[in-house]
Amino acid sequence: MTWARLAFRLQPSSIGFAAFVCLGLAVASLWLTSDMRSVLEACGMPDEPKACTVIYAFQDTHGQAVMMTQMGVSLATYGVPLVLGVPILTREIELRTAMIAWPLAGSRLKWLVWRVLPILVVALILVGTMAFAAEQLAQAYFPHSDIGFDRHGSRGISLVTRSALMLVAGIALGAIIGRMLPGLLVSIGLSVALSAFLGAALPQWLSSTVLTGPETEIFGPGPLRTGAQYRLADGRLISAQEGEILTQELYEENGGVEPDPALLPQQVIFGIAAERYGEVLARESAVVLGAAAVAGGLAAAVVRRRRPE
Amino acid sequence: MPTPVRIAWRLQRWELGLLVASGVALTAVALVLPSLGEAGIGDQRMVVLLLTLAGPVLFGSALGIGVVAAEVERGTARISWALARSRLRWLWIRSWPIALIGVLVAIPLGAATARLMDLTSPSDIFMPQMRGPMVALHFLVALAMAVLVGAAIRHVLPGLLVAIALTTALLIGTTLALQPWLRDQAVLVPFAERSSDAVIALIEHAHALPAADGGWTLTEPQCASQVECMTAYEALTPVMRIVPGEAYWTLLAIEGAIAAAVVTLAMAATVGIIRRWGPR
Repeated sequence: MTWARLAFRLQPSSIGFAAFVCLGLAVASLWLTSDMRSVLEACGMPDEPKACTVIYAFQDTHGQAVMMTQMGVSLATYGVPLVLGVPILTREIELRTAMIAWPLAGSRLKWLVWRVLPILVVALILVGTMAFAAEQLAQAYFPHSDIGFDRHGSRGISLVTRSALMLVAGIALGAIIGRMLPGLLVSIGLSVALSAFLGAALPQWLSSTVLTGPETEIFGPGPLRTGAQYRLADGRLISAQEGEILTQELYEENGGVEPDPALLPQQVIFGIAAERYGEVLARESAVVLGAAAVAGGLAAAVVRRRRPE
Repeated sequence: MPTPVRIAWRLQRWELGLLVASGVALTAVALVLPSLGEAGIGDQRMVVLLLTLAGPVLFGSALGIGVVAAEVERGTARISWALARSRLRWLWIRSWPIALIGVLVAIPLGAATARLMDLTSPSDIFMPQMRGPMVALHFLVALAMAVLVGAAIRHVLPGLLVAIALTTALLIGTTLALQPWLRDQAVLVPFAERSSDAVIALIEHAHALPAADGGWTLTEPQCASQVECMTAYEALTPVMRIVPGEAYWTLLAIEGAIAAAVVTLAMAATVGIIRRWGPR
């Protein structure tokens, strides 16, 4: 446990902050999960609660608390790895201890691995615990549905991979910039950009198909809805805007009364079905972990070449 | 360039450079978005507004923590405090250029987000914390709190985390404390007569009956079944209790007074701390 003790002595505030945030959010998530699941124990009884049948089972009773906890988890996904990763190199460079540590270590690369590895392990344990609890919370909030893409990026494996990428990217930025506060500010900007990029890229990992059955419902968890069009009686597809105009015209022609349903254009929802979430997750995780490896390589290259001023 | 500004730039050029660059970029985006029509109203608008809310706290804290805590951590406070005529003067010279640059960045940003809100959805609840001079006030509060926390904790990273948490709690606390005042300012407006005038806050949706004086009286019908309730509500007028946009300037004056008090107290406490403590 020497490595763990050394890591804590070098970064007590970072590790303390990460532990407080991750474990606090994990406890809050698990408590809410068990509270919601306990409500469902009465299902099947004569006076079963409303939560047993509706999609938004806990919107009125737990909605606010779940939303706040999930918002905290979303922020911690990026905030915790930055607070752990950025100071690893910037503190050594700013406090000029790198001038001693680097010449003393046989190889800078080996020194970097020994400095990063304990923090990476601590981060994975803490973030992994939070990700598991956030996964349970998301599933408990929608007890009657396959949650599919709901809260993607803020639970389970996607949370851990994003955090791992931000941790390594924070180390690399710290190595390049060499100062902690600017390093943190730039990393925060990078995390906003990364979050926006991964959100925009999500529909691109698989091609969209026509959704059917309950997956076409606008509200509720499950599939990733990417667009809507209208299908005419002859099978041609038109845009959503054209379809709405045509529907309105048909109503007006019919004096405001509902026309023959066969004449009305039918709405077609496009997206990725909930059961294909695993494929999307695997592809995204591979890309994110690949980017983390590239960032790690960049950090190593900078540390090898950098002057320890 | 005046000497204090030059010193501030040389000591915190990264942080100040990032502040100016991100402030200018955000202002430019806020100015461009209304011209994009529908495309400028969606998520991009929300991202700009959220960054306008979080940015001043983040940059104010990052810059403020560098004033005392970074000097102590690097060991340069020992030299600069010994060389300065007084520690009070040193603190003033280190702080005012940062405050000035921050305000010069925040004022145009606040004006740009106000314009963005007014042009894209004027009848929305316009979130006073994300527009106008309040953006600059938030920056100053965050700066003063971070300088104080940095003087007390004397370590950059823990100080930064504590300063962000304290400032956020303070700003949320102020918003919550002003809720009773906002409720007093609220007026009842029938939902159907809702105009495109700006609204500071939506207190609640309710049902009302016309009053003898031409106004409205809130009414909550008593009913036992769903059908009975639907019939009862049909006889009532749906209304909103809103705080009209004219109250913005009074709200700004109150928040400005609170911010001035917080900044004054934080700086006085900082002076008290750095006068007594010897640099490590």
